[in-house]
Amino acid sequence: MVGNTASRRRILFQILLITLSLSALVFALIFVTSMSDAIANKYALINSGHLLVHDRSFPSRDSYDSYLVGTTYGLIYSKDTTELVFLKGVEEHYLEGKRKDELTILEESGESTTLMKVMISKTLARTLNAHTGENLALMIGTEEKARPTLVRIGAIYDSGYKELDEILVFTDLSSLVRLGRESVSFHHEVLVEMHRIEEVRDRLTHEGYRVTTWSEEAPQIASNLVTSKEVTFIIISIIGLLLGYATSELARQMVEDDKRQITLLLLLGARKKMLAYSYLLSVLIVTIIALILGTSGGILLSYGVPKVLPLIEKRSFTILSFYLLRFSIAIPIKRILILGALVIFSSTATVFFSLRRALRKQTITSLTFD
Amino acid sequence: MANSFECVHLSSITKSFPATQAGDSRLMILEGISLTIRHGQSVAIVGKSGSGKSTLLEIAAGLLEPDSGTVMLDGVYLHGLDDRQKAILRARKMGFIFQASYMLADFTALENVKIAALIAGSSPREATTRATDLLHRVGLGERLSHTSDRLSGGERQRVVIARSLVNDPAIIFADEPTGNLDEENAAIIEDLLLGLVKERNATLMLVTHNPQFASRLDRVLTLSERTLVEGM
Repeated sequence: MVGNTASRRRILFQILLITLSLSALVFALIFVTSMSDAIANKYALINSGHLLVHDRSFPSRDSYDSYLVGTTYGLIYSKDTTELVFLKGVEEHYLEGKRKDELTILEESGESTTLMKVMISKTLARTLNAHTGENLALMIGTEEKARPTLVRIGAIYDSGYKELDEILVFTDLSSLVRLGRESVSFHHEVLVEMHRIEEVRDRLTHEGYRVTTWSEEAPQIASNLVTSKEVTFIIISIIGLLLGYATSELARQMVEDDKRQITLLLLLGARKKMLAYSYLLSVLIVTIIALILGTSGGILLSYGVPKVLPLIEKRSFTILSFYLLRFSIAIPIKRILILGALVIFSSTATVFFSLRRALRKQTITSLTFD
Repeated sequence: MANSFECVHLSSITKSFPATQAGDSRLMILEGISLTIRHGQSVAIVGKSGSGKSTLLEIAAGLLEPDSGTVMLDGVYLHGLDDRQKAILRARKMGFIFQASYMLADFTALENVKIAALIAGSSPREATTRATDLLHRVGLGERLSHTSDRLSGGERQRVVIARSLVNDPAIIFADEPTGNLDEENAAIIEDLLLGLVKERNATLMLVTHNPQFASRLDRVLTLSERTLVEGM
């Protein structure tokens, strides 16, 4: 309310403290949300599509961004090791459009061959100790007649999502059908925006197609992503509540600094409740300023992430190998607003009680005995 | 029975404080003090340091509770009032002047006077008019926008006098209002205070060490040996 230079400095310090803490919280919230959303989206784009239409007659390439794909599991043998892989037969141009940004082709072999060409990931290539242009043996199916067939590594890709890269192998659809025959299952992958999945699914179901979502196909991954996002949000919210509580210290300090002024106002007939509301308003203004600054700081900071992550990625820290290090920032506005509301709620409640306690102790006679 | 001519009525006031040394009984400051001050009367309380003058003033103003006895201000018994009612009474019926000229630090002279009127319920416009008039009256017409750090001790005390009078209170409680001032400024404050109090027909209860100042008031009472006696 009023105060000297030292108390103003203390208030500024409190604003700075709340601002920095909030910046960190908002940054963490944006980071986790963006990464989770990006993992989900990458998984859907590369592995399964956002929606899977399980009818081969699905004609709708004109209306939807969709491709027919064939999938099966197989064993892949290099000279050093054997790995279980998820084989995906795709049509030409499949890796264009929205999927283009999700994969980086690191190496590509231009030489022609009669062998079936596969594209494996950098991670799998490292595990198999194989390089572009080399041959691997691939066995599809479990029946007795199944025999390993030679395939050629036509390209090596990197999606940045190690868990997916470890198992996913691309090849062209017709080759996979020729090799896998009955063991290949088909579906149309439909790409839509994440927030439109349910809407499009309902429409397609209504049109008579059997449709599943990427999260139904990979419930474990989907629930892990949702859980990690929710848990992070809960933790951040709790810290936000504690941060609001910290502002009550600011209120206590303001009352302490203004003791004489408060006594004077009480002497002039001001009521303690009136003073409490005026201090509450002051602290709320300070909190809201810090909230705006902190949120803006967190958002600005998070926009710097896409520039920093590639540098970290280049360093190949083992600890970060399971994190997605390439993603675009998505601002979870609703969650940031909830966080802000929690900070204000906690601040208001704790400041109110702190002020009541501090003002209850205040007596008018303290002024006259000075 | 309350008398409409009585502004302050103290009856059998007793006040003691905890002893400073362990083992001592309570320190008796005031014992069975009764006092009546009529409306418009100015009364000086004199006495040695530590005799309990300020304690008596604070009890009369309702700032301190007596151990026993009753206080009636402008026809209202203070002991029956809650904090809210006391606050309203302070804002509308009382003015306070202390030895140290307390002002709200970041407020201007005008705001310092105005806030007292606002707390008492005046509209902002009315509060501004009355505060400006009073500040002109105490000779600070040119200092309206000065904050306390840009005013001298005497000027600050003049702001406090203006503030104490802005709500046309029934009674002014003043505790050594010239105690911190040099002779010249003290004389100015004395003249101003007594002049304005007389002009507004307010009641004044003043505590002072200064016998000359005390002698200018309608009545002088001496507090000695825990009791109040008429005269110096």
